Amino acid sequence: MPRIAGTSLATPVGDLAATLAALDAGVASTAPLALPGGLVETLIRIGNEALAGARPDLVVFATTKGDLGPWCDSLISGAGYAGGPAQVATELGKHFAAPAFAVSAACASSPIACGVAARWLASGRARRVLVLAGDRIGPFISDGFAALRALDPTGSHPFDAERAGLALGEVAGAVVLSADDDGGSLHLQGWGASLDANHLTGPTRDGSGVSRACNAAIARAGDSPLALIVAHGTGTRYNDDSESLAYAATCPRVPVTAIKGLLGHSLGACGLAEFAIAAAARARGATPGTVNLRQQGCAGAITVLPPGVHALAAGSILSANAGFGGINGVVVIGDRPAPARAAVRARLRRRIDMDARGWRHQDETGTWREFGDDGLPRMTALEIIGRVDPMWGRMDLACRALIVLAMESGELPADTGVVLLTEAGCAASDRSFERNRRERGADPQRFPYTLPSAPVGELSIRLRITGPGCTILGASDDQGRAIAQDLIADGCPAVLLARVEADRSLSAWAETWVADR
Amino acid sequence: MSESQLKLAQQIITGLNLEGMSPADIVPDAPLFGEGLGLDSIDALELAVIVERNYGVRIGNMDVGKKAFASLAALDAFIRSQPAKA
Repeated sequence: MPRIAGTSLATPVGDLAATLAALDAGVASTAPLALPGGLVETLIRIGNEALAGARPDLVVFATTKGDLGPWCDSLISGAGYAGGPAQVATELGKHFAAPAFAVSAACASSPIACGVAARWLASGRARRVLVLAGDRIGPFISDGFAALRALDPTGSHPFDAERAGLALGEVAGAVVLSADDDGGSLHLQGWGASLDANHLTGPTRDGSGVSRACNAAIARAGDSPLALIVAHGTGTRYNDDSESLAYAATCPRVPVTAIKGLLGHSLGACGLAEFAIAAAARARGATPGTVNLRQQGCAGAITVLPPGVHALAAGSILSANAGFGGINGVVVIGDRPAPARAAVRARLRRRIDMDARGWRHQDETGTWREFGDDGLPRMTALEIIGRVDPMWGRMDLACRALIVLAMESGELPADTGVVLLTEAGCAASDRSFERNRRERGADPQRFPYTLPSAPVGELSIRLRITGPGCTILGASDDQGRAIAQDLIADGCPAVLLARVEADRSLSAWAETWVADR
Repeated sequence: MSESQLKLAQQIITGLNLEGMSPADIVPDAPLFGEGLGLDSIDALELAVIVERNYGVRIGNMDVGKKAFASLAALDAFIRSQPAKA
């Protein structure tokens, strides 16, 4: 469990079969590549294809920014929120008549959404989950990446000696995961995630962040042999070096392929495209090589498959993604189910409530205490958030509030998981980045903070937290608690679950859940 | 601190959102990145934008940036060594 009951893909090349054929042919692309039609309509279409008439109990939407055009327009005009991850998830849930929320973990959104879905199935909350993934590029994203000097106008050349940056592209993907025996011989066999605790946009130089996520996913899959790695492979100098070191350390001698030379980098959606390609490759026993690879040149001793079609040995396929905030997600796809794990119960250790006026916390005995009761100077949350560190100046209020909540949550083990619930996400940073972008050009310092998972990344960096992490948009508090409790059932020692709404006013809470052993 | 350094320090503080700092907090010869002021590579890209917007000096690659951004004094000298642009 869980079984992969269906996959579907939409790329500028066409459907899954057409995309696989183009990858096989080794046809290079020139960026940027846009997906025709509306995002929500495309997601509904491919969702129906993957479901093949079945009904989902839950829809999980993996995305970095959702339907970006309407989102930016509604923020700038002050008309409220439209097109954000939460709003798109709600629309999808209505269409598929199932509860729905969005998982945003930057470019690792897809594998992390698959992990959320797999655990949801493992704990018996659903029999069938539809995972959808999609992101729009548009000038907000392309100007942002240009400001970070991350783009190569000649296209992405993953793991190439002369690679000079990434290219952007759009895809939408769908995967149906099922607890039942309803078709398909492949399983989502393992899943794992980690936070780098290193840098908001740069990967760990030694690959240790991706390594931790790989090791977690391989262990979850029951240590079965691997036949292939479908790498994140963006084509930036640092990403591909870091990844190659991670694979050399965790999966030595397993061949590596990457698809972004054809499709470009599709942000939070890329992982589901790689999932669909990996599943198709496993099913037919052959994988496409790495489009745009001329001469391999990366830090780690790995074997990157050149363009063409390559026969696959027996074994599972590992697919990895790494995103801004230092968020990594990995899935393992194979013909064996994930081994069952003895579920661990979760216990609430502490809750903190915070708004602009003040805050209070509740201990394990259920007693509420106002901060200031213990003789320390009484300060409002905003005063504390404002005076911590001048280097916090570039963070928006959501980042700062989450970090302060974590600092006040008692001791957190390094491998604590972080789940941030929000509706508005980082609307404040989005609004200021987009206003500046339209008036005078993209602001490199602000851009990374426009990702809904930026507060999770900053928390990881400031507090050295390296467990799994993501932002969930459009979920209820109880759905958030289910995600946190599932993480603990799956072996995470502690989870910081927080809700932060910090666009026009501050309203936040945090709960620390720990394994009840 | 010279007048041009003072002006540049204020532009850095405002442009990089260094909250609660004043130009006097920036030691002219101290490193801006890492151990000194503690800026990182995201700030470096923003600093390149600040220099371009305020002085019309484009820092095309970050190897040039590394030398120019060694300290406030180094950046001030770098900007003044560049031909002025309209």
